[in-house]
Amino acid sequence: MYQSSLKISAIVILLASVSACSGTPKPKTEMALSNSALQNAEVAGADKHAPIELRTAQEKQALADSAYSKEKFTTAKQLSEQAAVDAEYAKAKSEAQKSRLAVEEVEESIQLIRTELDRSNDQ
Amino acid sequence: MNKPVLTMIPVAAVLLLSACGSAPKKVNSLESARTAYLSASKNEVVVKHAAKELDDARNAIAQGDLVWKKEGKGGMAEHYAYVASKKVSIAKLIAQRNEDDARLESMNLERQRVQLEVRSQEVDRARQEALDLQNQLEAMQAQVTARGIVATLSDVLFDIGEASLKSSAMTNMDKIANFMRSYPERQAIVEGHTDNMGDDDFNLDLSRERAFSVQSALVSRGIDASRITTRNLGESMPVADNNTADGRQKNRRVEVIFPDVGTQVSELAE
Repeated sequence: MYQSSLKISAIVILLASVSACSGTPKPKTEMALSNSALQNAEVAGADKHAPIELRTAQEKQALADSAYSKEKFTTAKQLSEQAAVDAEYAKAKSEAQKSRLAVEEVEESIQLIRTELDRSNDQ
Repeated sequence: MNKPVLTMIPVAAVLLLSACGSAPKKVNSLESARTAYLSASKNEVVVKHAAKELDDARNAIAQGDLVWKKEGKGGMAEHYAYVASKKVSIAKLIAQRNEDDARLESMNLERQRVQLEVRSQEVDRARQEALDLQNQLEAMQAQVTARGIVATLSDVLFDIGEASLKSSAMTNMDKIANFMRSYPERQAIVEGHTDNMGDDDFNLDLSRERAFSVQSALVSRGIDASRITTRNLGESMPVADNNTADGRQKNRRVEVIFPDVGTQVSELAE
């Protein structure tokens, strides 16, 4: 999406200014964490309930992979940290939506039964 | 939706350029994150369900503050602000989800309760219907038989040797008419029977006329004539011994039969 990639490139601009440091450790842990956060989001059904947020997370993760392969470790670290939090957000949104839908379904069901009850009471 | 993105880029440019000069006093996004965090941390529900995420947010803000203070690096501070505000949003969603899950439990119980209410109402209704039917059958002095519900009108209800009904039979007619009004789906077969004494033709005529009398009495009480069929069986179906006076009187009767709903009138053998 045009807008999300503009946002991402804006963040990359900001990060680029700090990537010139030498001796930066490889962000292996952060990359692993963001990967598993993405998986968790997918398992939670984020592709259905929070597709845009999931997409953002995936795009950032892809950028993080790319930065890592170019040994831009600080950039990679921050991108994967953001990807992780984006994925967590997608997961939380999905979970919240599912619970909300479940509540609404039962509410509706109770309403229907009550209406039926009132209707047969009037007979 | 375009606006915030476009404003980020000039801000970024400002931050990049200002790395050499005096930095602005605050990072807006970090301040927003801080405000959001403070607000969420005052919410009991959020604290209850998402303390960890709130802590993560607080740590991110602290790191952003540190980086900004020590190195004046706007880009890094922006990054921590981003993480912090996302964590706050996550905390709020977690809280909402937990609250809904709790609600769901109590609502499922409520649904069960209402379903039980419906069921018990159905039971009460069925019981009442059975009671009503029982009462009506008793009023008509009717029996439940294989042919259906049978109300017997005895010889004494008719004038002797006549088809006309006595005034004492009027309540019987009322009760039968009541039953037919209460159960509009029911059809009636009015059967005339006689004993085996006397002239066969006379007996047949009499039993037929008596059946018609009963039919008329019901129609005059507002029952649709199409619901009533008459049959004339003469002496062919005695219920008692024709050799005694008592038995013969028992055989001189009119039966009003209400077949079970769903049975065709013609299905009942003559």
